[in-house]
Amino acid sequence: MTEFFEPLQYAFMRDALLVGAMVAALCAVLSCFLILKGWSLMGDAISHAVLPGIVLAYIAGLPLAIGAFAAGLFCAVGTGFIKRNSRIKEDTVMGVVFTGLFAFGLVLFSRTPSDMHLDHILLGSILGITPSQMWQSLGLGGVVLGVTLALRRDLLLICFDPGQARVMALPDRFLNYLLLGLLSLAIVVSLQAVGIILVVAMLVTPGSIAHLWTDRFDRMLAIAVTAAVGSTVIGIFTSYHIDASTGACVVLAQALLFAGSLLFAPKYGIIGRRAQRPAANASIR
Amino acid sequence: MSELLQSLLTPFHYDYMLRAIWVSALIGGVCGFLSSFVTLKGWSLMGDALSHAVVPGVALAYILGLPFALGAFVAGLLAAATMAFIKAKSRIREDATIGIVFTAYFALGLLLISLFPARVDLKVILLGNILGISDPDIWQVIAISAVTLLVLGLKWKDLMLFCFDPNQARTLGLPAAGLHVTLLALLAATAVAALQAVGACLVVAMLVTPGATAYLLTDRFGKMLWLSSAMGVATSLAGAYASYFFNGATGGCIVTLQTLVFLAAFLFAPKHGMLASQRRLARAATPPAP
Repeated sequence: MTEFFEPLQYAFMRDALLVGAMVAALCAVLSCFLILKGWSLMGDAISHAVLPGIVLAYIAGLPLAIGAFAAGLFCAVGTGFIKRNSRIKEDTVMGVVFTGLFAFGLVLFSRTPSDMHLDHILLGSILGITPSQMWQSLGLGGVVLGVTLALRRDLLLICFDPGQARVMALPDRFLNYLLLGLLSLAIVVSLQAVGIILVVAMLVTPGSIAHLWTDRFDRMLAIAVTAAVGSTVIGIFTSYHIDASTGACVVLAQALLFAGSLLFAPKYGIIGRRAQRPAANASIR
Repeated sequence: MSELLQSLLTPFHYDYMLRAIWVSALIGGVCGFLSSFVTLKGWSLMGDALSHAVVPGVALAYILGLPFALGAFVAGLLAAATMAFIKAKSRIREDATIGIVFTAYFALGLLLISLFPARVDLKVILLGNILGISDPDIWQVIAISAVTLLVLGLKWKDLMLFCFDPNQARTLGLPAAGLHVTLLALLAATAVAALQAVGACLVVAMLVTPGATAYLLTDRFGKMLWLSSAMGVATSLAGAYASYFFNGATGGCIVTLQTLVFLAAFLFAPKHGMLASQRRLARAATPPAP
């Protein structure tokens, strides 16, 4: 057992676990809203679209997070604009816009001499996080998490029942943009840990796991956060022991948890439902 | 002047550039052709998902020394089957299912690559490496393109009906399930080919943007097919050529060009463009002169 916890004696592993847990909790909370709103792939789109923002911010000497945030919002707003003004379906527009931005980011990157590693942006490098990056992630992540949790009732309503939200005179346009803004910030915070490509897993899988276990939203939040933080810790430890990519291990741990829930969740799991069905038939008879 | 011309012509002096240009054009054309179907069917995100999901197949094929196209194709179909299974068996929405499955497959690929780093170059998979494409890989691309074009050429009317109106197709006695699988298989196969040119991150653009652009320009499907293929060929030719001046970011160049063409169509398309519809609205709002 002590062997398993051996990595804890290294400062970089402790930092990675701390940041990983923060990112996991933040993304898990947001994922619950995204699942209900049907925005799962918005996370995918925004995460790819931040690339040109990062490169431009680097060229301009600004903090990379600001560029990433601006580019993420630009993608979301641009998608909405093109969708309203053309006859193309939303998912197609999303595909066109985010790949366009990502490609533009690649071209910019190829013309910019820098010491940035594209691999680190695409796949994250949580084990190489610097103290200042760590504090930035923890601070920004804490703020985003706090705002999301404080406004969870309002955000839930615009996800579940936009009509009702309007009837109750909630500022639904503002809340939609707020959710997009929080999502962009969460992606910015997570980039260091898991990278552009796998952040979408952090933003979809925990909420889906929780959705298989419960119908109550507060419980869903708790389950999603537990599942995400748990699989992040397991993933980071595993990656240390088998010497493999950290992001991949975290995402695979989540995926295994999802597969387990899909089978064994009491009410909505495959085996659980099968067990219920004969019982229901019996009661009819 | 002649110096400028000289430097513009330099890419054509290199064999590897000429090869990259024509192979890109071939891939661009095939993807463009298929993209009309993908756009109509609303499968844009399926293209994205499959292109990421093939990564473990590519990694395994390289590790075992098999042709990469085979591994990728099998992984793509497995991913599609996993998605269909989860969607049928649970209350999770389709878009979330797609997100979970493709990231899981991608992570598996990443894990394999990080365990066998010497065998596979991750950057090649993510961003493509058409400038350094090997002869066997070119043959795989040609084979995939030939099969795809053949199937699409023979079956495009059935597939079109299936994309437009699956119920109508079923009523007419077309094998809807068979067509569904055919289209998925073609999508997986072209995703594999496009992986070579632009990499996993940008495959979805090759499979969506030309179709979306053509959809803004015409109402007739036949015309849409050749418009989207032509756009795929032209942007890939130009993008591969331009990448000589951009440190080999071939995928980035091709897709940036495609997006610019899309934006132009979005603004200026004669009937479905934004400016045209605004003009129509303005005309409807002002009363006709007496």
